[in-house]
Amino acid sequence: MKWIRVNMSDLSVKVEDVPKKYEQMGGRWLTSSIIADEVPATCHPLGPLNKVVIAPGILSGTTAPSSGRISVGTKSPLTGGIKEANAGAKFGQYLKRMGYSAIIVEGQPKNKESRYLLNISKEKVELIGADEYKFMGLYELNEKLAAKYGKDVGIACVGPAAEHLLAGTGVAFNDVENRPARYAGRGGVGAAFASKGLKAIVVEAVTGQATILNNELFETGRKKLLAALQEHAVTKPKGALNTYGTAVLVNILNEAGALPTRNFSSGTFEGAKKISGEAMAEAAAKNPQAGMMGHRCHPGCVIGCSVVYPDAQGKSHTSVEYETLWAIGANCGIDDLDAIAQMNTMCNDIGLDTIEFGDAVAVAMEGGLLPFGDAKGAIALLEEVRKGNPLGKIIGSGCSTVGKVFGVRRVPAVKNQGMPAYEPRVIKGIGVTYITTPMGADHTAGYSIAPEILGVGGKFDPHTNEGKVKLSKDFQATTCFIDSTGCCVFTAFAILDIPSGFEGMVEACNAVTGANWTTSDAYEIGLNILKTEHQFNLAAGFTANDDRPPEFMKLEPVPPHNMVWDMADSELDSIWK
Amino acid sequence: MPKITVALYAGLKARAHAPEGASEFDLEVPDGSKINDIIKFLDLPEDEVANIFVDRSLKDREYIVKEGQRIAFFPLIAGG
Ligand code: SF4
Repeated sequence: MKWIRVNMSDLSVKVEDVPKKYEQMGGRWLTSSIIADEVPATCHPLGPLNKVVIAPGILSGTTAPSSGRISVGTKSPLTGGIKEANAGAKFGQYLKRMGYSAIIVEGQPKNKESRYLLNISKEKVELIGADEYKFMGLYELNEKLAAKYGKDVGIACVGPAAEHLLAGTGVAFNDVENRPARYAGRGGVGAAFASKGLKAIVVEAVTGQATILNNELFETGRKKLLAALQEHAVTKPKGALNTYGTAVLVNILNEAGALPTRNFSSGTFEGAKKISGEAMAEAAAKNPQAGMMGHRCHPGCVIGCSVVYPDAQGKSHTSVEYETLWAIGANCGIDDLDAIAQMNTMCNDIGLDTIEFGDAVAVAMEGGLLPFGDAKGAIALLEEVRKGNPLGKIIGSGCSTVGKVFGVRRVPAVKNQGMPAYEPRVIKGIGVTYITTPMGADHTAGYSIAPEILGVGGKFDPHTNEGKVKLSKDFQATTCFIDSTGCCVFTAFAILDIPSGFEGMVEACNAVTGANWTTSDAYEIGLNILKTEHQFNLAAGFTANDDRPPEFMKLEPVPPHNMVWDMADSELDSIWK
Repeated sequence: MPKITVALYAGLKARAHAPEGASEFDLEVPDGSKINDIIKFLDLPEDEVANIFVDRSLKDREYIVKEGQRIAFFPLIAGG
């Protein structure tokens, strides 16, 4: 395998053989390893010493089901620690089929005003001046790039908010229909990418299959994984994810009293039903021309959880996810699905992470900038972000910054990253994940919601602390491995309950890499990735005091359960023992 | 006869004893009714009911419902 090393200081592009140490790695394993090895932990995230690594998973580009995830790794401008965010997109599949396991972007151009585009085709890899796309919204950019380079190309790009170097921005990848809607969203990876002077990376469409060393073993593994995904009630065709999208969670979290509402001041939202997956499915059924359930973020996903929501005017919005509906909806006291969908599309266009944006607006609402429930006011704030006005820059920098500016004490963040859509005072295991993951508050890092609320992969009482550190640690380690395979984290729902599915995933990885991993090796690999990331954070200056919940969660009981965060700090610290 | 509120989500539909098409409704049940009895009374697809919340807390099918409680039924779902 090869990787592409782009030096933005001298604008050189090199194609290098992947050193032996990294040969079997992919996705998060590869991005976190390169960042840990090559980036000084104390460097400024927006400076020339930071790097941005983009890596498809081990199985990306093959016919393994739902394996088209692409990881973006860097030192996070939001948290100051290591970061990996991933998205499902054809981009990584093409890259892998071309024989590239990563793109490493380093250095910084002397002229901060210049913009560049990296064009990767089968013939050559080149950096091209791209000043004409400066501060361009991503829907227009993707249209222009598809017109110039071909309608099937893969695109990675950053919006105007990222070019303003705001810490609440992500990297957008185009979906099959060429919409910039697939986001490696969290931790300010967009700002890190933009700080390199890069506006976009375009990769030529490549069909076929990435290199596989053992085709027979690959087929065995692929079939086992596929069978598990097609059998499980959550992931099967016409199953829960396919029928209602991720937003099927709105009602269940609300019924559990754990849907954070109005800046984490309550666990229930009276408007939950109006912003649920059921409501979107109804709207999509009424307008099948503009709406669609079961959309696939990349070719080869067999689950298809993505939603194209048609608003009352018949305009399509892609992809309206649970986290977005919660962040901009319940968390801001907004129950207008059309307004949330509109803001979702605006975030996609501007380059913002919808979770961080929703958290930031909710904190601003608490700080008195606008009232809870004010959808028009929130839309106006997004326009400020696009323009890069001072208020927009504050909002686009995430909820921790907003909290400081507006004197708000109730800031739901860990390591400066805003919390996602689950109340940790009520669901303790996800709290452990938010608090201890090296990523800053992140639900995908160790999704203990599965056994704590959904009854998937076992059953744990959400309200108790017992066993939650181990539960979170096991989920975090396994997730590190899954994030390295290129398989969507939602495959976990099936393979948690159907062990042969996980075996199949590992066998398929063995077939691609030539390794001989067992499922317990996969766990150990994941644990080592986690430790590498933790070590980077320690070297960057983090201490055990960064693995702590926001103070208000210890002091303020959240209704309706009236629970506080009551796990001892020493118990949290035991995760690294 | 305790009166309870029933909420049905994500494709679960009562096939009996519920107002036509309603996903949330009040219901009077005999004293001592367990959740299992309500599942049978409403003729919910038994193998599809996966998670049951009573007043915001997960309960099993043996739980005896009380006056004024809210019972929410879900099939196996997940997201992220
Ligand atoms: S399950 Fe959803 S997020 Fe995951 S790969 Fe498929 S469409 Fe994308």
